Amino acid sequence: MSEQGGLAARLYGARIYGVLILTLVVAGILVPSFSQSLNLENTFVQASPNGLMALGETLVIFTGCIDLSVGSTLALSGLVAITLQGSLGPWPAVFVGILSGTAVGALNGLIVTRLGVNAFIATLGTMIGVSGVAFTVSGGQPLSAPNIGFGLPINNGLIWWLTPPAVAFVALCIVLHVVITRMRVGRNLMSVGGSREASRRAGLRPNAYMFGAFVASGTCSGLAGVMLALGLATGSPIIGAQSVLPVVASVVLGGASLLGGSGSVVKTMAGVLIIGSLSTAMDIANVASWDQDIVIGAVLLLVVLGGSLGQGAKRSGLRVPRPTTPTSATGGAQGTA
Amino acid sequence: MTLSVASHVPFRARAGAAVVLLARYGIYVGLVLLCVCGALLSSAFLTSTNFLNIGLSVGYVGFVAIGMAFVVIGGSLIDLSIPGVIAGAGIIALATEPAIGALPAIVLAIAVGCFVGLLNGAAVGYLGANPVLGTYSAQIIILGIAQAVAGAGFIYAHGAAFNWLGNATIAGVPLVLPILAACLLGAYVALSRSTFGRQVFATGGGYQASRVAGLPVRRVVMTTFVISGALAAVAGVLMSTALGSAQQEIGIGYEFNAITAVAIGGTSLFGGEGSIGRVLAGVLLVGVLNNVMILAGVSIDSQGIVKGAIIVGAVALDVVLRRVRTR
Repeated sequence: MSEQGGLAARLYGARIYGVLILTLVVAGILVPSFSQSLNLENTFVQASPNGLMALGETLVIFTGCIDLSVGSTLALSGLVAITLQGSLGPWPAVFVGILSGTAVGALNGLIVTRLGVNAFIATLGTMIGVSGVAFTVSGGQPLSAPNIGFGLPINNGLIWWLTPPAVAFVALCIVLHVVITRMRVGRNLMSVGGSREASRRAGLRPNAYMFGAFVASGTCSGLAGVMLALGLATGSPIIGAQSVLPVVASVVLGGASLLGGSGSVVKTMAGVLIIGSLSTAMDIANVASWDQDIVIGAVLLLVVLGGSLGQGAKRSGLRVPRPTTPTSATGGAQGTA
Repeated sequence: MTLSVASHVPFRARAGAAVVLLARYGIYVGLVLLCVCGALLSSAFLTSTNFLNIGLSVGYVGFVAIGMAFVVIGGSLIDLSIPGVIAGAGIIALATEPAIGALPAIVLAIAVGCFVGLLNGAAVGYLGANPVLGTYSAQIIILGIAQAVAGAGFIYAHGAAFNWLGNATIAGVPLVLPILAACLLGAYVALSRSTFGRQVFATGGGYQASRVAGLPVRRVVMTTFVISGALAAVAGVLMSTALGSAQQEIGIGYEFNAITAVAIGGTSLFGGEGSIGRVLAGVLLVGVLNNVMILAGVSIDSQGIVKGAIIVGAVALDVVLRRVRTR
């Protein structure tokens, strides 16, 4: 963890904040109007839905799993909220919408921990399946709400200029950071990701932590999906279809290892903001979307290569610690019974 | 364990033999069962036209899945650059064909696919980049370049050669399927009958052990990405000649479709296990499943639910069978 090592190692560990500051400074110089306060605020507000998903994804990645279903869950929960608000009223619809995300998370958790299916495949399956549910719910069409935010003030500043999604993003980040770094449950979650076998021998129940992480991720996606649908007054079955890779990318950009057991939610936030501020700055400068892709891809690549070179070219890839029993080889049971 | 079960063999051992067989050949059993379902559901299923349709619907994914299998078995989990390579190869082939001719255009497109694979492989194999993030950045950079070159519109096929290639058939079978069969055969030889194949399995099965044993693990990892890039480029060229046009979005989703087929076939995502036969079975299973759902009248909106459930169910069954076998 960050307390270890000398100054150089600690500075190296905090390099993602340097990349964020560098991004903001360069964007501010190249695109003068980017540094105006309104644009910085917009950057943050627009990054919030992806940010919420990324925070949940971070918890799952901490346990050494991955959740590919975040985008489908985002679409489903928004559609559920919009569909139900006529019959249930705004607040219950919001609540049930978020709960639908929680339910997807619980389903993921059960498939991974009870059936022993590798998280990548399990959530690939639910990604396709939940998207199918979203298409079925909506009949393949976008659904509109009668009014933006069901009359709830979703696009206004709740605290200062922070809109409700942005407040949720910041608050959740702070809460999760405290839980992960200061509380036993957070340290246990990290140790489950570090070594499932060791944490089991230490008396923990790895499956319980993995299940919890999936439920948290589903809930975060549900929250993001409902807030996004409210803000746009539209639910769409395809809205999250392209979200999963950017979300995973911002988590890994923030330094979390896909093997589990390392990373930080605050650094995930930095990862989200780097991608968010790049695209906002280029939007302002009227950079074509394909040139934006090239720039963002290049930045991602530089940070990834910088990270792997910094570790003395030690392999940071996905050399998975082999499961000890042949039981878990194919289909890769994450939780061996 | 022999296949003939003598009467004096205890029941448990016989049940064990059945489980071993099912665990080993479950994917093939599943494929046959699905075909039986299809035949019972619709008289149109067991026709040569329908099988051609199935073949065509999964043909392009087939190429990508073969390459993905090399990457997965070699232990690098996934090659996300594929949508970029497919679109890039299609655009390059169609755009350069009027100037340099059909064959050089195809060679150029496939060479670019190899080059992208080489870059991915160098980043992952030699520089130790995370494959998910490294190949994802490759995807968005190439898609960006492809769109910058092609604009938001289409690049259309011109010359007669591409028109022929897109519509050619051999004995009524579209050319893409024999080409796929040849690639499958080549991949089978490379993976299961060659030194390189054994190195791929060894590297994916135990990276450190293989390195210590003196295998060229970095080069092996890089080569798996080159194969993946080359085959994705082949898919891109064939796809865009068949469509008569290419644009930035033709390859979107193929990375996930391919990894789905690989995983359903029973290839371990941890690396070190799998076979081309399993990849083919996985590709066919997805194709037959889609086909049977259409024949059964499952609405397009709901097909995803069935597909997701089958993916999870197939892999869960595989895990359970293996668990029973080792008990």
